[in-house]
Amino acid sequence: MQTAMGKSIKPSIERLLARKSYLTLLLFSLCSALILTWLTLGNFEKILLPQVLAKSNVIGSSVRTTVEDAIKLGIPYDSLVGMNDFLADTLNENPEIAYIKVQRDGGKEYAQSRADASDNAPQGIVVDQIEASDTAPRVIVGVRASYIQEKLHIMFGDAAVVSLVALIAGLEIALFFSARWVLRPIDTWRAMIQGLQTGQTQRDLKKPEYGPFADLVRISNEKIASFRSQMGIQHHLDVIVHEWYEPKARDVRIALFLFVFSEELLRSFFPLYIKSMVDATSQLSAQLAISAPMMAYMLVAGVGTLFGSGLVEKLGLRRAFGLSVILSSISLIGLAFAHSLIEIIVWRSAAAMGYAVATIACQVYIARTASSGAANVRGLSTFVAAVTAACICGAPIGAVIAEILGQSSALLFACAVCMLSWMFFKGVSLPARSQNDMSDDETGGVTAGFGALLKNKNMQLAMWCGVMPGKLMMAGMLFYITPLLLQQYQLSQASIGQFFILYYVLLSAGNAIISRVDLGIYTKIRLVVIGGFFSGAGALTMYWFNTPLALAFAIISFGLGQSMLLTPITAVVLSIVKAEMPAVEPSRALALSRSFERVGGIIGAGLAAVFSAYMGYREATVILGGLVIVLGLGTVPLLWSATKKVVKA
Amino acid sequence: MFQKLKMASVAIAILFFLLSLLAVLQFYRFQNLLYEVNSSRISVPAQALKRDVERTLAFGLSLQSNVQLKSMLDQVIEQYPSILSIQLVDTIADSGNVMWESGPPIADPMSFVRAQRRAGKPMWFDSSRPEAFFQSWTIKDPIGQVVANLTLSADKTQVVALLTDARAKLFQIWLMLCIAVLLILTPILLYLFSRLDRIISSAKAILQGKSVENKTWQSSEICDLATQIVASGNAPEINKS
Repeated sequence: MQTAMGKSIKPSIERLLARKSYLTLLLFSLCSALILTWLTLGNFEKILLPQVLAKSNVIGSSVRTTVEDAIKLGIPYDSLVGMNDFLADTLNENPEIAYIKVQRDGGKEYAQSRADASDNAPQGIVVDQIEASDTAPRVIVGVRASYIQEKLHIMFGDAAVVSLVALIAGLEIALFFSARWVLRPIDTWRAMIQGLQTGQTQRDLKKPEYGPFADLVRISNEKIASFRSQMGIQHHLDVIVHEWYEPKARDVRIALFLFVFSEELLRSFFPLYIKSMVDATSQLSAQLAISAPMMAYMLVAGVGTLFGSGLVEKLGLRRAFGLSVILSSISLIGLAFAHSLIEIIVWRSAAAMGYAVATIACQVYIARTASSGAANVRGLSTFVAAVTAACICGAPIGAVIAEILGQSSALLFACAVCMLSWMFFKGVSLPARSQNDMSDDETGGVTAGFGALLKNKNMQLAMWCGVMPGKLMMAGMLFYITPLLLQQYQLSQASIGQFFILYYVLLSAGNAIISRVDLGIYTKIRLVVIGGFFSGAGALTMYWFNTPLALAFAIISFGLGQSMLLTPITAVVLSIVKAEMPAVEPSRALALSRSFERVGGIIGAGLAAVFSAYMGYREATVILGGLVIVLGLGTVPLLWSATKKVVKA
Repeated sequence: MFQKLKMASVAIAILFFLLSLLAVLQFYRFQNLLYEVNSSRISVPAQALKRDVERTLAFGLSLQSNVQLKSMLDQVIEQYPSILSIQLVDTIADSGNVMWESGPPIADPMSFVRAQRRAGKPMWFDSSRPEAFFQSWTIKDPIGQVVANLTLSADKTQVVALLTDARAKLFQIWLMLCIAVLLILTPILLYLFSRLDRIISSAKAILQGKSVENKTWQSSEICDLATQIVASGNAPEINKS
């Protein structure tokens, strides 16, 4: 902890207590998750091993029957041609088998085993033998005991991912309660003290505070009231309009998390849901049918972001968010009961509009709560963190709900979560609008300001070269190519989820670090340039190596690049608006930025589809990486322009 | 006390949520793995049968008239007791005509053909039905055209019993862990929160003008703020408002 003088002092007892509480909870979470995983995997191993042995018995029987059939056809046992190839094929098709032997008393032995010497170590092999009878030979199958462990290792990896998902979801809930019971009352209390010290006591406690500090706030409020009466101070009723508590970006976090979470719950099963619908009703090919609602979603979300900004200004934050919740909830209910592709497209379009308006409403909320540039960056990183957390948690939890309750019920569950987000948003204190906001509102139409933004050269560079490439790479490489490439590498569905998590974990970690550092605009632009380069650079390794590791490296590099870029680019966009277009409202720039993200998504998916069709997934990844690097370098002029301004200053 | 209990119960509820989510997700991963092993076990005789049926096609024999096929299906059922029934369905012009079958008939054979077409793979496995596992394989003629579908149903009761057992054991482990967490974590959290209580009580006392032992609030931000409030009350700035 630092004092104003920069002198380091001992952290307060409250901070130590908070730290101890968090560490205790974290330790218990990790330990209990680890114990649960360890005990259950041990139990699963005991169940799975006999099942694998039963399969080896079936393989042995099948081999014996085939040999017996050949002998019955009159082929002498010792002259069975192609026996080694047959056994080698059997070995290839069944990875759990270490070796397979066909023997007959006094006859030839046919045998095939895996090349890996360690697999042939007797201690790691469980032997299953089918005895000879009449003409049938004896078949001995050696099963690798390590096969189950390999499968369980994958499950352990999955458990790590699931623990992460559960921890993140738990953290969001913990953050909500910390904000409600600790941070909000303390901030209110601080504001009261500041008010007393500066003499600005014309505020009121409109909503009761909760938690252990609530009493302190109440007592202080009573004290302030008694000071007022002692001093004979009487505020006019119209003056006491403000609350002591000044809204913070974190207030909207849980509502945003739940809203995005309700949308992300669909990610894992929605293509399958469309597929099942399409088959019954449509003549379209499955691929086209699956992509049609997604394309419609991206398109409407892009357009919706442009108009959503105007809607938010016109309706106000609360009503705008309410409208988006209504749109999304209706669309989720509609999707749950949809019968045709057309219905799905219509409902997804409605959901896209809801998503666009809700995210803009939250961004505007956060922008209005920011008292300074640094607070704005912190606020925006809260936005990114909430969205990222929802993205990490949504898909795996949605998959389980769909598995337990069915896909339609999962959609209704998502609808309930969406409505819950409204309950939280309804409860937040709305930030006051600045005078600047008011005057803008009088002159601005729904799309006003976009023309000016698009005419500005620096804004164009920030959008085309800073904002768009990230989403291009995300839709193209991460969402489109990664699952297909991993399927090509014969990795499981669970592994696909783990590869996705690589990106999101890096993004949230980088975002958390950057939001804690107060950087100048010049450093932020530098981060944008470097981040743009890293976003595409990793993909170039796919040119030399066509392996899952290279793909993992590409995703890590992309995650690293985006974590460096995502928060600063928004701050850069806002600073361009402030410096070069003061008449334009910042929310318009944020809306434009979201639209460019959608454009990037559409272009990314389109380019990935085209390049993959003509060249293959690996080559498409390399081209996308190269394209993103080239586009990212387009932000360098922003750096020059910032340098010139610094020199001038 | 109520506040402390409320905070501790929220923290413990979050931990229970974490454990529940982990347990449920692990169970479904395990279920998929168990289904995968069973699917590959059914595929061994199914693939051999598929090869045999396709070989008869290569010899120029018609599927509709080749009576040998019936005994081939019967033989598989006899050799592998876990296989309950097998059907060979004509898929030319989507007739859905069952050409040969062994064991109890499988209801709506074309539903498996459609599901397999949707999957776009030569083999399709359905583990979702409660009564049995179903596996469907395409049968191709020598020029590579799909002419029939081989559908097998396999016994699921053993797997269901294993899953029930695994679920019960998982629940037991989950419950034990939850009780352990409750018993160990609650006193720790209550102890930590009671320290916070003491600080808040001191701050309240400062606000109410009572004397407080200096040691209690020496390095407390809250007590410091409470002192500032009391001091501000006597400050001249208050007159400005």
